[in-house]
Amino acid sequence: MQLLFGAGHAAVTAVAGGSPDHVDITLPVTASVASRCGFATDATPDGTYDAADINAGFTHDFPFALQCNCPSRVAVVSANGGLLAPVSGVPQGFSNLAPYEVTLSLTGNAGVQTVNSGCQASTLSGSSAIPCSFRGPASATQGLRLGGAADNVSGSYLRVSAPPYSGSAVLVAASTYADTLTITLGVAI
Amino acid sequence: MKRRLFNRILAAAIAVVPMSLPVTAQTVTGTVNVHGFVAPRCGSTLNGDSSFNGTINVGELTQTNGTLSPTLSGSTTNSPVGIASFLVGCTGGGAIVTLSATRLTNPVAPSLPTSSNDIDFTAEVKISLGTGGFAFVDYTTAAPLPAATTQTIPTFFANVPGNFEVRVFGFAAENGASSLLERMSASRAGIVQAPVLPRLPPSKRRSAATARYGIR
Repeated sequence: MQLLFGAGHAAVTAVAGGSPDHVDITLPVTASVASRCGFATDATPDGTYDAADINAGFTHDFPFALQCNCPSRVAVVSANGGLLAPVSGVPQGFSNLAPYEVTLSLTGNAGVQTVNSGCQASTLSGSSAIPCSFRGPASATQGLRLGGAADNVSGSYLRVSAPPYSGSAVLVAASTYADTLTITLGVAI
Repeated sequence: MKRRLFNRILAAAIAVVPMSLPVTAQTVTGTVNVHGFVAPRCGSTLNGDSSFNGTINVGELTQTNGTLSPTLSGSTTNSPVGIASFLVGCTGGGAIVTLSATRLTNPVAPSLPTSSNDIDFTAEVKISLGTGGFAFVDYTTAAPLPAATTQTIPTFFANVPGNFEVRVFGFAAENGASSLLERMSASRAGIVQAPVLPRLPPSKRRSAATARYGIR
């Protein structure tokens, strides 16, 4: 009696009584490693950035690292579609919503091409009629796609930035302009 | 016997096949917050900290008999002699406008004591409001010059060109309508100043706009 294990197959040959009466059975031996994707420990895009006077412009990076054994997608949702101040009675010609840009950059293992993309925060809100290509939540088909694995590789970041404000509407004075970005990460097809 | 052996072998073979793990596609989440502020400010541009200035030229002051022109003396807020307008933006309501002016003065002493060397007038700032309507700040020169007029504008300035007008009217010769205005080589110049400050305390004011107009 023999149990033979080939490359990914089990071949079983049974011989009894020295007679030619035998049967050969070939069974595939299969196994899998699930596609898994997450932010590396202690490298999740979390935190708070306090910009100075919005009119002067700002830029800030939130670094993070991916821990994915497969292609992945990262997507972002903006709660307010810009920096919103809870001011009521804003007259025409003024605004309590300051625009800014969100840039995603994803870095993978050696040989995996780094990808970048940027969008206005307004296109990342859930209600945007013309959404950004990486508006979240992430899914197998939605989000900025990194085409390979990333094993806790540093270099990925989410950047929030704005040039000096030049809009036609005057931003109303307020100390409470704010937005929340939710970053989701998932396995890509 | 053969079938029993075969079944045992088959069972053993199957037992060594690992079970496949399901493919999972979990999603993980991070959250970042971005905060900022817009400082209270007033300026002649959206981000400006600048002052702005101009000149209102009222032209010839006298009529043919040498006294003050009735066009000037009869001018009112609805028919001002001169207007200069700008766009002044403030990032909030409650801006404080202070208005002052100096008399139109002949730098040369008059040869006749009954002549008028100084001419008073009213300067007025007319502000278009974001909520509609206008706010007015007035100041009339005299001897001695009164204190500047300071007024809080409770609402936003309208964000439209020409929302901030400086007008001059109501000219009056110091010695009366019948007094002569002597010919002079230099202009009788007055100055209107109208600084505009945002509402917050001075320590938090980021900028102010100051209008300065020469009147001649």
